[in-house]
Amino acid sequence: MSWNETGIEHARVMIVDDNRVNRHLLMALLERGGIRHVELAEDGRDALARMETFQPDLILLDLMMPNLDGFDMCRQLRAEARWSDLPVLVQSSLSRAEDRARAFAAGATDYVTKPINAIELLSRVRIHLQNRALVHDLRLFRRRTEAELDLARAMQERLMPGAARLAGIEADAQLAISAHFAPSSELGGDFWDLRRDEQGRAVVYMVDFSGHGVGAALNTFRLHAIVQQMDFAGFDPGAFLAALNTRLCALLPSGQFATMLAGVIDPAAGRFLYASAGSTKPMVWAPGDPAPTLGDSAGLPLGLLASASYEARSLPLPPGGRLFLYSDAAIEIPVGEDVLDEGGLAVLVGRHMGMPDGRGFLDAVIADLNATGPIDDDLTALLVTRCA
Amino acid sequence: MSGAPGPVPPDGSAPHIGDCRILVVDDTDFNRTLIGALLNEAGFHNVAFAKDGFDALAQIEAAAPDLVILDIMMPGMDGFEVCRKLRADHAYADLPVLVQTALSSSDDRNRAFDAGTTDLISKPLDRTELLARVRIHLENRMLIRDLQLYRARVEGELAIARSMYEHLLPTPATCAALRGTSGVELRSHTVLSTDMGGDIWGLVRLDGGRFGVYLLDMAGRGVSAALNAFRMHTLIHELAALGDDPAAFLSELNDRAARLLEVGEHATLLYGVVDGGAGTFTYAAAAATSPVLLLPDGGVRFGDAAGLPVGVAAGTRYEARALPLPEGAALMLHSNAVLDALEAGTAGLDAVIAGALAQAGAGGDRFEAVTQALAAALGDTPHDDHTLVWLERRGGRA
Repeated sequence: MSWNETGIEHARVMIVDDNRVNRHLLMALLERGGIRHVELAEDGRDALARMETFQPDLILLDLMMPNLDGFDMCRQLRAEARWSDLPVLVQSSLSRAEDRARAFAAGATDYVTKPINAIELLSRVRIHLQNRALVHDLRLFRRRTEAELDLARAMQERLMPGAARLAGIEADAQLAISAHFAPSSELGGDFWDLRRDEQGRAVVYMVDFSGHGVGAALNTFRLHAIVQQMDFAGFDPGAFLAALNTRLCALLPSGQFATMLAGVIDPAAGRFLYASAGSTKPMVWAPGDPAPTLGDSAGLPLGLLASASYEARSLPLPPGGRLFLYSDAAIEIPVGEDVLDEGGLAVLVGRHMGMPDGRGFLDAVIADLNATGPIDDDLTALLVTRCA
Repeated sequence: MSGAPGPVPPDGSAPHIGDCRILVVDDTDFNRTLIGALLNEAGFHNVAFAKDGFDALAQIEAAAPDLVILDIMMPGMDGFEVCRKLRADHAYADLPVLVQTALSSSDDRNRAFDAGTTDLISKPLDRTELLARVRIHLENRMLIRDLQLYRARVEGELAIARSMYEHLLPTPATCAALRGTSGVELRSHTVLSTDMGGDIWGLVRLDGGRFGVYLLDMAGRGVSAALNAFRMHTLIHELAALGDDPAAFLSELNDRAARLLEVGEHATLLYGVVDGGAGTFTYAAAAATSPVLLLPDGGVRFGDAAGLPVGVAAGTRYEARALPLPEGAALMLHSNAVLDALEAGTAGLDAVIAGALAQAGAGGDRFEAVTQALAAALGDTPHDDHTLVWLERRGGRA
């Protein structure tokens, strides 16, 4: 193996030994191994004083030294979080098993016995440095990417109504709204929104793009941008989906699509008028109902056929009634050989549907879903309650 | 909204090494039993045993362990050979292999490292040392594996996103078709940075042998810039009906973008209509880089591209500007990153272009010369996206 591999060339090694000859022997050995940045310390106290300025990647530590010995220095080092994973390679003439055990107990990473075997020492130094460089690179990637994805995730959460806007709609439209949004990775392909049309009726929609992660999220931003351009006056769910589909078809690459449900709560008729592009079945129930009613949701997903049309449907939603929408992650949880389908979800919902608090209802349903099996897709759930 | 996303524990958390599979390879019953008991007592409950080298390789093949504790002196195939065979197989290049040797045997120790061992455990076995070394290597391995899984997952997501981004850009077939109807040859040069970025260019179909072209540079970088670039692309697509009038197009686009974008999110943009028949380029710009006009006589002109970035303030009105596009002239649009990378800005770009044109000489391929000169000036590792769109009106120079 080449000594110029990653981690060796730029590695910084501190030698801690009270014997001047030993220090220089070790330094010569390291230099032979391609390590050019070497710092020498005479004892543990001297070494600790140099840590901050030298910032070593590895320490070669003698045990028996005046002022502060290797055992104590190692313990002091490990007490500091930033040095907790620094490789400390003990090199000592103490060869009894008890001494080795004590050194490991003090936090040593590795132990070699004097007289130094050059090949062994360099092999060990190389292994530790390469591991450290690899971990460093991977951590750097992760830190940078996490920061980037956190930013993107915050943007995606802003696509959905914030607390203030939601409170406004709740007050104006006499509704109580609870939502759960959990992408399976940092970003997801789910997205929902709630707004009012010019008659003051509450319009609600929920979208679930194919795929997940960043790619699916890019599509939610596209759809959101299109919806922002659309006219909500006299909201007609079927026409809305048809228009959205035509516009989305022009943008989406083949193979990508979205399921969607869009509807409007008509308080005068006491009904939820909706249309579906292959979404999950919406559930509604009125106070005192024994079980939720599932609405039909057949329809072609968005993005597949520009000329698709969408059927107008409706469900009863009297005052005090509730509407429950969810992404398909909730009905694709594996149960034995099968999955928890809409019927299975309806049973779970039935257990909690009487809970007066919407948030409590959602939490209970989500807890039941998590107990059912692993959820490996974006999960969104929305409960809208009409005030009695 | 609840919990940390992803299957990976947060950075720095202690990996669960108790579940790791450890294979103990030793031909002595007593040693296998002893090592097994020490490991079990320390909480390692997934321990397997092999009684010689052949048995070890067969078991590793059947179920890869996370760590191997290997004896040297074994009948049939010794520990050195097992180690060499493992290291020769790429799948096990990173597998920690801990070899048991006597402290005094300097020769064995060197041979073990030569064969690719990760670490040595001294014989006779010491409990503290054995467990310390096993823990250190397993923790390290689990940490690296978690980080590698994270990277593989995220890189997979970003690869999909990048292919979607590439799907936004005009295809060579689209450019070729436009050449037929407009008499203008369209070429482009895009260098994507290692991250996702916010550069997009595209075309708007118009009638009468004309077409619209835009170059957009979203502020920021990474996934969030890409998300906004996709939004802007969607808005531009929605506004195609206004494509005849660059000033109106840009003004309307800005109003809509301002409603979508948050404070601090904005884009520089140039949108123009290429009219091959009339020989004009009519455009409007929002803090864009200057369009560069390369005249048939070798002259170079920079167009004005000042204006407020898109998305900053609703109600901003943009003005139309024009450049002539005579036969044989070329028009170059380029992203901010090109200028940023050239220390002297526009003057630097001017110098690069002048040098490239001199190099190409009369009748040479100016596009190739300019892209090559820019690549040389920018270096091999772009830290931001670079886009260069080249519109050349044929004729005149033939």
